[in-house]
Amino acid sequence: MPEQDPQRRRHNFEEVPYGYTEELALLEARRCLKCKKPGCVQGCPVNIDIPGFIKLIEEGKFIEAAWKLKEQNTLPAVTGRVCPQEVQCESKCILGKKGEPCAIGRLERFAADYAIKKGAINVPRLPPATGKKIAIIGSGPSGLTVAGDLAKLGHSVTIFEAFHVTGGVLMYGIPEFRLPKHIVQFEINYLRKLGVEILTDYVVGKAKTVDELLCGGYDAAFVGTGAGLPIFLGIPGENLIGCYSANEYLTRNNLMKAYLFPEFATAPIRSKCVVTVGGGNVAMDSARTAQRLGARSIIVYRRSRDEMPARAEEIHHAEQEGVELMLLTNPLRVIGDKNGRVVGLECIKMKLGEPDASGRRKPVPLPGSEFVVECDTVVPSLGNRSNPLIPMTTPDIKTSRWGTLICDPDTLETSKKGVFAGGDIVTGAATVISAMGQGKIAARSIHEYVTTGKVSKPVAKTETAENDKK
Amino acid sequence: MSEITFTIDGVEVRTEKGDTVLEAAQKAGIRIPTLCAHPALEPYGACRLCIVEIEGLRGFPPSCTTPAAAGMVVKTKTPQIVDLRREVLKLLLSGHTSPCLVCLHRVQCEKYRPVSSKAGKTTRCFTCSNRDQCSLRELAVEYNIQDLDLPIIYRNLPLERTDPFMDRDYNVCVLCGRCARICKKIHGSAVISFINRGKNARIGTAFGRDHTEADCKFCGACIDICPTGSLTDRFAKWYGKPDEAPETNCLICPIGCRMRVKLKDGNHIASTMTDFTREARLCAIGRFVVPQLLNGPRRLKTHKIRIADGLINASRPDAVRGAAERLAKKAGDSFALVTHSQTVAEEIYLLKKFTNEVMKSKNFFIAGTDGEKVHLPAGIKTLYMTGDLVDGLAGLETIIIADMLPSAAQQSADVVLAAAGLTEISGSFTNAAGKIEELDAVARPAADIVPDWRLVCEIAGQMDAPGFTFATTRQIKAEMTQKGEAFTPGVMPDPSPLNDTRFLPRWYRGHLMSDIVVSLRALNPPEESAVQETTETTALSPFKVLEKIEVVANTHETTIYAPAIAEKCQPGQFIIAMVNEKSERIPYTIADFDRANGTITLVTLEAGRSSRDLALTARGDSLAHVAGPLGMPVEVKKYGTVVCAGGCYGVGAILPIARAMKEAGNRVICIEEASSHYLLYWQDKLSAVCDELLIVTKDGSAGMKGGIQEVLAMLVARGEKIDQAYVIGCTFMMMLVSNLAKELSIPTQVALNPIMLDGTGMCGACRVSLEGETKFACVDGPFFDGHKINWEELMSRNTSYQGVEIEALPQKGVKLAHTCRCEKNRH
Ligand SMILES: Cc1cc2nc3c(=O)[nH]c(=O)nc-3n(C[C@H](O)[C@H](O)[C@H](O)COP(=O)(O)OP(=O)(O)OC[C@H]3O[C@@H](n4cnc5c(N)ncnc54)[C@H](O)[C@@H]3O)c2cc1C
Ligand code: SF4
Ligand code: SF4
Ligand code: SF4
Ligand code: SF4
Ligand code: FES
Repeated sequence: MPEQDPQRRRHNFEEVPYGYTEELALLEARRCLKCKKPGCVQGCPVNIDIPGFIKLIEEGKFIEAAWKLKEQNTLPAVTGRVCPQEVQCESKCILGKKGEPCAIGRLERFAADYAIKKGAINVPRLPPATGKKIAIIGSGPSGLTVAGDLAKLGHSVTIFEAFHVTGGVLMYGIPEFRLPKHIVQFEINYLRKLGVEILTDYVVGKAKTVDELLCGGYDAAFVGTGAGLPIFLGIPGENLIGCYSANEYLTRNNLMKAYLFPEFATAPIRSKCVVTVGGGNVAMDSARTAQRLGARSIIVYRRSRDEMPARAEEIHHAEQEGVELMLLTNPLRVIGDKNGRVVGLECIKMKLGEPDASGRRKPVPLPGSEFVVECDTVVPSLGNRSNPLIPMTTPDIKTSRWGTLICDPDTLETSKKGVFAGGDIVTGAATVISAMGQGKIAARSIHEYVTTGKVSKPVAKTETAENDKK
Repeated sequence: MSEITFTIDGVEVRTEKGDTVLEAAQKAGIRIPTLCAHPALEPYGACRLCIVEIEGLRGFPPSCTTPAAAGMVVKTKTPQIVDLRREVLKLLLSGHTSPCLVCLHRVQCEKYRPVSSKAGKTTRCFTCSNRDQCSLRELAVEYNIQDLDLPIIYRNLPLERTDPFMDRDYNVCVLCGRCARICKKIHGSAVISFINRGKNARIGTAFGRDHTEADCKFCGACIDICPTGSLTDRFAKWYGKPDEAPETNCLICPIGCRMRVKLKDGNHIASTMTDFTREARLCAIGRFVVPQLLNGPRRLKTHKIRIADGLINASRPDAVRGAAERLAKKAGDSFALVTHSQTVAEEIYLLKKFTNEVMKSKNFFIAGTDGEKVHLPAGIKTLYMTGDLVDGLAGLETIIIADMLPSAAQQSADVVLAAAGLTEISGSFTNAAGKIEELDAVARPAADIVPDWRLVCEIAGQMDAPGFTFATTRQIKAEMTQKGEAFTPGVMPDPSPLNDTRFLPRWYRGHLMSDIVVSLRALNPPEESAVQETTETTALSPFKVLEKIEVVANTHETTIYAPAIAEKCQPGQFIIAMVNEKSERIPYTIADFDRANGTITLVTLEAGRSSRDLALTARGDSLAHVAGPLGMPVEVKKYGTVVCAGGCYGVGAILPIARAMKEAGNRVICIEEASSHYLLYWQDKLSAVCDELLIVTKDGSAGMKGGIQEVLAMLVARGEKIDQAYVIGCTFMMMLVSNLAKELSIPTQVALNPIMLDGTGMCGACRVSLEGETKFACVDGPFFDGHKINWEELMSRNTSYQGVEIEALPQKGVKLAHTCRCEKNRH
């Protein structure tokens, strides 16, 4: 797929891949075999009718293709960009056995973008109102999915979002150059058209609690509050000025638009050299943002490249843009000057030892190999723990040792009657599409719960899809 | 001139006849303190600080108005004079915003808070931009003034900030009259003068007009001569004391005024006259606009090269190489270079030489200063221009732009070079009077930014062209002299901008200056504006402002309709507000709430851009976003005796806590701290919810003298057993109180106010350390055990964005904050 030149893009916040042209999309769509028993659909956490939408593209019916996507997927323009297709749908594509799998993600993005560009929104005719009210807490991908599915079934849905904008990580975490914010907002506006009510600046648990929502007229609640609690390194010097969680570093830029300071009032972090600690997608996003803000950008990661949890494509993009990788390196302490500002990060070299519980080889420090990376900013990007607000304010909801909500894996009902959950708050920090997949399951359960008063386990996975299709 | 001899403090001094005693003393190096006197002004004798004793004369005449006479015996430092001077000074300070000067904790405060708070109104030294260069403060220290006998009179005049460039806060004025006198001296008739008499005397314009209407020339002389923080330069004020102040000339118009350049870290932040005379005056452009062209937010700071369809940032060597490559095979008359005249002769010479010799073209143009763009002759394919100087770029194949400011033309450029200019460059300048001035580069741009002539030398170097190996403008000048180049003067502007702001220069390098420095529009409304000003739209929202008053100076009480928050909020919680869609998310403690009417009330200080936005809202406006209630409420139960203490905004914040504690059956003692009596508010509300209200002021003007810690000590001394204390206010105050409370073993909860971003526990910006453990203030707090907090770290973290914050402050004049309770008069 055509991409913005790395030399150019390392200085701007425009999207990196340009997306397919119509010609390229037609060519790619033609490669799909339109299998009778498509593997790709099994690989998709929301069971999109992949051959179906690709066929529509092949026929030049781009808008219809987008509508087809929307049947199963509330946010196709988003997932087309941020899904790890290489381990999902595309990994199951029959073409992949011999050569390149069909580029499902790119086609998905193409169709969704096409419809957005043309403003072609297909608001399905809604069934008669059921009179059931459902509260969705959190407007990340899981909450948005539940909202969309339930609204299409005629329920009255309200989303409560703590932030001043909707979208969760899609808005505050994932940077503009990977996921343009207007795309997210376009998809969310679609929900508004479905009649979904959205209340921003509403912190459930602090304003009304879950219990109060349920007593106050809501028939069921969905908790999709995500994994928003940043993990720090726990090393000395972490509270010096110049050390920021990835969440803060990214939020200042994405949500608060500090890169447009002083037009936007949020203060930017102006650095000469940023060291990002970690090897996941979040670390890549921080490091690439640092590069774009004009700093030298270094990633420190304690294992080797092969163990990096980030998508290969992201690591590749980061390196192309000039991000430096310091592998097998572990930070020991953040060093500050007399004004309490970061001037360096002391690290130690590591080597790989025996595999640990996760199956990855455990890094062990090489004594005597300590050294200092001079830098003025350190961004620990070690991921996030579950957002504790709802568990803290909902006494009878059960949580795991890690703070995630304990749910029935098939129905996603929590230990509290009428309360369902999904996304990172259940799985721990995961992916957009898994959050959406859970959203679909939860929506099905909620629908059953509010219409029949009970929740049954789905018979088979495909059944879920059937149910939602109508 | 004849000399006379007389003695001062036993030393024989000689001076010219006609000198005053003060002048004679100053010449002899004997210091006599002064305030209203200024070398540039006629003796005035108003402040009476310069009193002396003269043998044979009764009383204590002011030395500034007493002519020296032969044989006089003058004493300047007798104990009696020193005493008297102290009295004079005390009297003066009691009409001034001086509580910080007599505060017991001043030295500590200055150590922990070296930078003033960027307030709107100045209420004391800590919110005064003059703090690190104030002669009044020096005098107070020199004369060891620790107490004032009379309470300070605060006039509570409105802050005047509707005019471009200047803020005026006459609450800080000491009536020295310097400003009015210098204005009259320079302009013949004074824009500002004493109005009213006696105790209502103040400085102002006739009929209370703003300066723009009162024909102020915006020469800035009054600001520069004012000894206090009363008159200030809005752009420069928070940068503090300049590091250096070298001189150079203004290059904007051919008058070429000499000016003194105030530098902070090498950046030109203000220009002032070299002398307080009519001849030395500057126009508003030289005084106020030049610094903002150079160091305002729109200054070009990066070089750019085109790759495919976009421009990317590049280092100077890369950009120069890029330019050289693009110019490589373009020699001939299809090349044109367009420059401007607002620069030194060497630069123009060199650009012309480059055009003729390297590019072998005769197409060299100098755009005028009238904004008229150059129309290129037919056949031009390659253009190099040093500004926004050409009309019609379509059809050009290669465009290279060296500039200091952004323009639309740069969107189509192949290379954009960020250049130095104005006070950042050296060279010769022939002013309209024909005088050749040798200018030094005084301001220092960022490392990668150099003058246009140097850029062209580097490009020529890359192209292997000979004859461009100059290291200084002097070397260029030597070549010019050798070749007999003439240094032609520009044309004297008529009418002169110095006399009338209607004729101020409008253009610089082809940019309409009022597009770059928006406040300039108040003086010369643009004929055609290239840039659309972004109108800040406040999204329609339910967070409507129902009441808005400035409860005391710089402290705003805002009542907002927010039923979901009002319904649930508990004492000690806060909200996060965004005034408009571009605001920061800023936490404010909920000072009061009314569940029945669905409202919450905030008490906020103006201390920067976002709090200013809030301070400037008026009844009927809506805030874009308010989220909450956030944080953990305080634990309300029966403790026994509970102290609720607050300072500045914290006074508001302790009200609901005191009320709840009282309702829970505690004996509640409230302490309200303020710098001075005129900053006290809500005493009535507090009295109604506590058993005892104690007032404490830093200057002793109401209640006890000192701070909350002194009151705590007093309470303990009188045998009070305090079971729990809640303290809310600035970090410095909470630290002082906590330190003492720890010694006295009083359990103390303080409400921390670190920098926050989301306020929901998502970012960690708000982390604080308690005995080595990290907590997030927004979710674990805001209340923490004051004994355990790592205060040094907290104070240090709160300075994270200090430098950047200054840049965020809006430079445009603003409508006055509405302070009365009537319906806002809109449009
Ligand atoms: C920087 C970054 C990059 C990522 N990149 C990728 C990627 O490329 N591909 C991918 O698949 N995944 C990626 N992820 C992971 C992915 O974004 C998450 O797994 C996904 O967003 C989880 O969705 P969610 O609906 O569970 O919660 P979230 O998106 O976290 O949304 C939760 C929302 O709930 C709100 N909320 C929380 N508490 C309350 C409350 N009490 N009341 C009201 N609202 C509340 C929050 O404000 C938030 O808006 C990335 C994550 C990050 C941080
Ligand atoms: S002018 Fe400002 S700094 Fe000087 S004494 Fe007055 S308040 Fe303090
Ligand atoms: S800026 Fe100049 S003209 Fe205006 S009031 Fe001050 S001294 Fe007078
Ligand atoms: S404004 Fe300044 S210069 Fe003018 S009288 Fe007051 S203190 Fe003196
Ligand atoms: S009149 Fe104004 S623009 Fe002209 S040289 Fe003087 S200060 Fe500069
Ligand atoms: S403000 Fe972000 S975690 Fe507290």
